[in-house]
Amino acid sequence: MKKKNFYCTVCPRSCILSATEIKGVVTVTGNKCPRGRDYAEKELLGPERNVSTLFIYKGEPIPVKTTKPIPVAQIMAVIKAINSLNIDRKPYFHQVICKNILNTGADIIVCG
Amino acid sequence: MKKSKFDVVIIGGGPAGMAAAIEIKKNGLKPVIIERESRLGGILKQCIHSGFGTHYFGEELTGTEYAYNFVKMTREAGVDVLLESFVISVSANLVVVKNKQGIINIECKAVVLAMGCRERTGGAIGLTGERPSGVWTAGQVQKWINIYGVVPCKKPVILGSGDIGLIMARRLTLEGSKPSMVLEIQKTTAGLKRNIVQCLDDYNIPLYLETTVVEVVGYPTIKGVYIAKVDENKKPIENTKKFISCDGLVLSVGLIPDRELVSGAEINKLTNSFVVNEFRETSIKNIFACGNVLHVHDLVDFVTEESILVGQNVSKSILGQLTRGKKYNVLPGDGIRYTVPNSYFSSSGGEVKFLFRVTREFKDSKLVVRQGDNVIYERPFGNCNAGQMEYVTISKKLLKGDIVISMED
Repeated sequence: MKKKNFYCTVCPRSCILSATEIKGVVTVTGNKCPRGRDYAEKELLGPERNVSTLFIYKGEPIPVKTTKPIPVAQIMAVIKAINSLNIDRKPYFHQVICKNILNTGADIIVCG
Repeated sequence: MKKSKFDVVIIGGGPAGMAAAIEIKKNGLKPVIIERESRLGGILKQCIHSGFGTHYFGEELTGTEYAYNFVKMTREAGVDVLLESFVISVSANLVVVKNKQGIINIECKAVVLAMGCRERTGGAIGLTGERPSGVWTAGQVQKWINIYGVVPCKKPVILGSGDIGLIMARRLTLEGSKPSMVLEIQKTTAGLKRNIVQCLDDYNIPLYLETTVVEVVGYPTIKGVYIAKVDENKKPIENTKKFISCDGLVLSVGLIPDRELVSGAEINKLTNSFVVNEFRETSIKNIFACGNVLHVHDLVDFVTEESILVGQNVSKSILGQLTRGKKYNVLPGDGIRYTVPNSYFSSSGGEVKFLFRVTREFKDSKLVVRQGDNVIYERPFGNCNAGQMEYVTISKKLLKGDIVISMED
């Protein structure tokens, strides 16, 4: 059984949600709209986030981000993979420095 | 000493200054931005996290992407910019600037104040104990990591659950540090709810409410801190004192509008910044203010909107199109910590957008605007809390005197 309480971030109402999973069936309480229910289920079973971090090019920090949300469980592994990238030239704004990082479907793009 | 002439001098090249400058240039006038750093962008240069631009650009951007867009627009608009330049004195018609070229006297018709904020430090909260290295403000740590690539600690304690404290909890974690806890002196968290989820819960960083740091231990480098729970009056409860070993204390304890350059303008004690009329003009005619120097924003999109409004108002003022008329006061009532603006003019037509923060958490609230004993405007406002700036736009047709804005259950 899985259970989690958290704030919904879909809209500014910030409802306090409670999601429980028993034998594959997810129950959600506290949501004031159907979007909140879907958000809660995803947060409980497979939360995803967009990640922003730095890629260090020749000692200079370059801000980068994922082009789509990745599973929370893979965040630290993705950070490590970004730190191991080898780029031969200083990347330009919005250059993709890695496609489909760790098979998450997200690319890594330069933001600064 | 050099002399120069522009229509408007804009002090600060962050998002506020840039948006105002672009707007002023659009109106056919000549603005100049005075910026102390070597690049435009302001605080956004170190904000590599996302959450910016959902309102203004319709997509979620990082702070650096938002800055990039505005720097590009500023350059393309042909706005004059003086980098690595400092303002020494300000009046509505003369701004004195110092840089490597020497002193420049800039004659102008109006000034826009867009200096942003600086951070409160340990001294401001009466932090006691030893004074080792290892006590920093959150923005300082953010700059070191994101601009210089230096991570100054491995196991910090973070004091303050405002957005910057939460953002840094996550940032430090992603850079291999392990923040042991975030402490908050109030009963509720200060920052946006999404940051509690995405900066603390995701990384299992505990948040302790009604708790603060009472003493710093260690010299010349920090060894740890004493933390304690606080009572209703924010006084530490002696027998809850506990030692936490750490190699850094990161302070996220508030921002101070960097307003001291303009000492003659009337100050609103509630915001610690300028009293402004509906045009965001200070008590000094033709000196306007926008962005964080006027009041601390949570979303840069609101800063941009406010600064575009100021750009329009400054332009109108210079072109003789701004009607000031009879002034009425806007006062914060129950449940409202402060409002911007503090007054409006009786001229006909249009509407006024009032920005405000509430004093505490409200569920199913109602915004009420009164003129004397009469309720002239009322609106349900749902959930709101002090951590999120709110606004209400009211038509001038309804506004006929001094008003008091309140939030009620």
